[in-house]
Amino acid sequence: MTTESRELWADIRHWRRSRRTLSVGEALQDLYIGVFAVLMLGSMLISVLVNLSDVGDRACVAAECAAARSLLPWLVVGTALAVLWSLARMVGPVAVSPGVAGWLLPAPVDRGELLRGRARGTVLLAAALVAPVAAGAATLAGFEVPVLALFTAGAAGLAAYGVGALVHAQTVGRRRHPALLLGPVSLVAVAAGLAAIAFSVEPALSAGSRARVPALAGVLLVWAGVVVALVRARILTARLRRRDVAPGGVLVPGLGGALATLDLALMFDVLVAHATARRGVVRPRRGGPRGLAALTWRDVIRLRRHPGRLVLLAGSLLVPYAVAAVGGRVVVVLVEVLVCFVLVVPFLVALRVLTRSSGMVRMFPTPLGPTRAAAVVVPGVLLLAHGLLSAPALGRTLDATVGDLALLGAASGLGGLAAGVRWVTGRPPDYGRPLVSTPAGGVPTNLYGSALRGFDIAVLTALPMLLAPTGGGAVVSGLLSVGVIAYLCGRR
Amino acid sequence: MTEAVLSVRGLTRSFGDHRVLADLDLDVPAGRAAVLVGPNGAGKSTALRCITGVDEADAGTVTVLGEALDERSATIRAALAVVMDDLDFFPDLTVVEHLDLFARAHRTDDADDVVDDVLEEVGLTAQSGQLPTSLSSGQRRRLALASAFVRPRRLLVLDEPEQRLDQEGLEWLVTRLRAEKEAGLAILLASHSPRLVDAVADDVVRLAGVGGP
Repeated sequence: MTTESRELWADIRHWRRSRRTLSVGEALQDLYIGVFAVLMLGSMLISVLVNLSDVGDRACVAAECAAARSLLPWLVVGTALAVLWSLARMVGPVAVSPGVAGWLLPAPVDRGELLRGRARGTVLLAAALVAPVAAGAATLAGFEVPVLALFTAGAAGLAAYGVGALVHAQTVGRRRHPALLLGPVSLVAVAAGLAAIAFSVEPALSAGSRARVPALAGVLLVWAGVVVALVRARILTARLRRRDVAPGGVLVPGLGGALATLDLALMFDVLVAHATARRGVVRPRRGGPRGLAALTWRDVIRLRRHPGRLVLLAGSLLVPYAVAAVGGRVVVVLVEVLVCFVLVVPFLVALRVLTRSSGMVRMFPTPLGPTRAAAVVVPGVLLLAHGLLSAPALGRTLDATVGDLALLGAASGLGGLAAGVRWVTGRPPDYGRPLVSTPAGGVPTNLYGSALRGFDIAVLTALPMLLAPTGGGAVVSGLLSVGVIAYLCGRR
Repeated sequence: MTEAVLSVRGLTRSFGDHRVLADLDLDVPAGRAAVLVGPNGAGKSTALRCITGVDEADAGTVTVLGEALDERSATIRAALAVVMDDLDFFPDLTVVEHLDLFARAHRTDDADDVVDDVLEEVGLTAQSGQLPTSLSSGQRRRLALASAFVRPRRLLVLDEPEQRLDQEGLEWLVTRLRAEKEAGLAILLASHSPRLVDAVADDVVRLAGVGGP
């Protein structure tokens, strides 16, 4: 006897409804504070963006600045698309919960009917996520309302089309499907945009009225592609195997659990574990130095194993140059620290394990501090090089000697490293300690702070250079960074 | 009698009002194995955690090779090989890379040969290129135990090493621990396995759990 998937869903719905204790309306009443908070914060954010846009209209009058500003939404959307498509690829994009994978997929029902709703939902969710990002960036760039609407619709359509293409790649199970290149291509486009700004090429990307008709046609074409992708997904989802959709379903609750406690480092752990589980086997590399240098040497092996991270780090050098090109002046230092902070995290996998596992620390013959410090050497060298290579960008916007510029660059790299170490070694929210009473219930004292972890140290280490962009400021910043790293490496 | 590699006197540990360990005395000389046995919650893991310096005892002393326990001491770290249940592997290093790393970090002589021998012994040669996330829980346990055997050691402390091992794995462990004793190592382990206790233990310490203040 076979069961229609519709009957199964109806049974599940009935089962859920018979056990619910609240209606949707009642749940919303309970959540009214949250709903109001979202509405209020959303309207405040829109107001801030509009005001910033007005400020930009008044302050950004130079040709270089105006050109860079017109590129801003493209860069933001390009980055958002790269992140979105990479995440979609990691999750599936079609994924099912362990319950569905364990109970429904093995059942003799039409698998396509079980999964096509998820495929459709994922494609539309992509559009819904990118649309506000695109609208916000376009507002900041001062786009007129019709252009803003066109840009937002195009970006949302592109996001949905890309995810639709990834659904296709998932259904055919090809490791070399062209859709898998969408993320890297998007990043290359962002790098090209940054290079254009850095080298003062002034592309005219602010859509004039004559460009609106072809732009509208392009947007319509993209959305037609989305419809085709949805239709194709409707047919192809029946081909999906359990192993294609189950791992993502395990990943999502893991990420959700970590996000619920704002434990971003735990989210990182979940993502790394998922990526390595998918990879499974690699060619082992043995040998190298003895003593603690063996631990440092493993970071060199990691570099050879993941050259993409190195390419991304090298490509990120365009950011300080682009900021300097639009007259960023001393802000270049802060940007460099933040870039180093964000991009160093994937290089700190060893430090992360040595932080969360006392068992792993015991496997080494040295105390905690030196052991963890050995895991910071290679990322530190990389960021020092990054900082030094960013020094000429500072030279374009600051009046300082070569020695001072080199010191500022090196201190910026060290500041980014200190922020990265802070992020990776941060303690998770501790529900065992006294909680703070809030309308949302009791929360640990370090819950909200964990979202800002790393940024605090980035600002702290950048501050001396922002106040005094000289060799002296750089030395103070460098000493602060070294102190923070030494403290965090030795902290139990 | 041979001087004890590990000596424990009056070890006491409480969690709040609940006393888990009370005045535990223990000596483990070279070439002998002491096994802590007892029901769940009897304090076996707590005792091992206090003895290895992971947890701090409320009272009592622990000496390793005549030196008061300080897990920062280079001598003690070099002599003490510990495998508890809290070993978390590097997600991006393979099985053989882990063992190679531990062996080189401890400056093991002939690291390559030692690692190859131990890999074969624990039955992970075929998995040498696998990342830990792709191993079964039993294989991960074998890797954790193997980590202790690729480095120099005078005292081996294992917390329920039989966990997740199949029958073949358990027999390997028995053989290995007997060989370790013959090589002059002192062994302290906590175990629920009658087979392991019968085959390896020279001294059995029964912990029944103290309870109360």
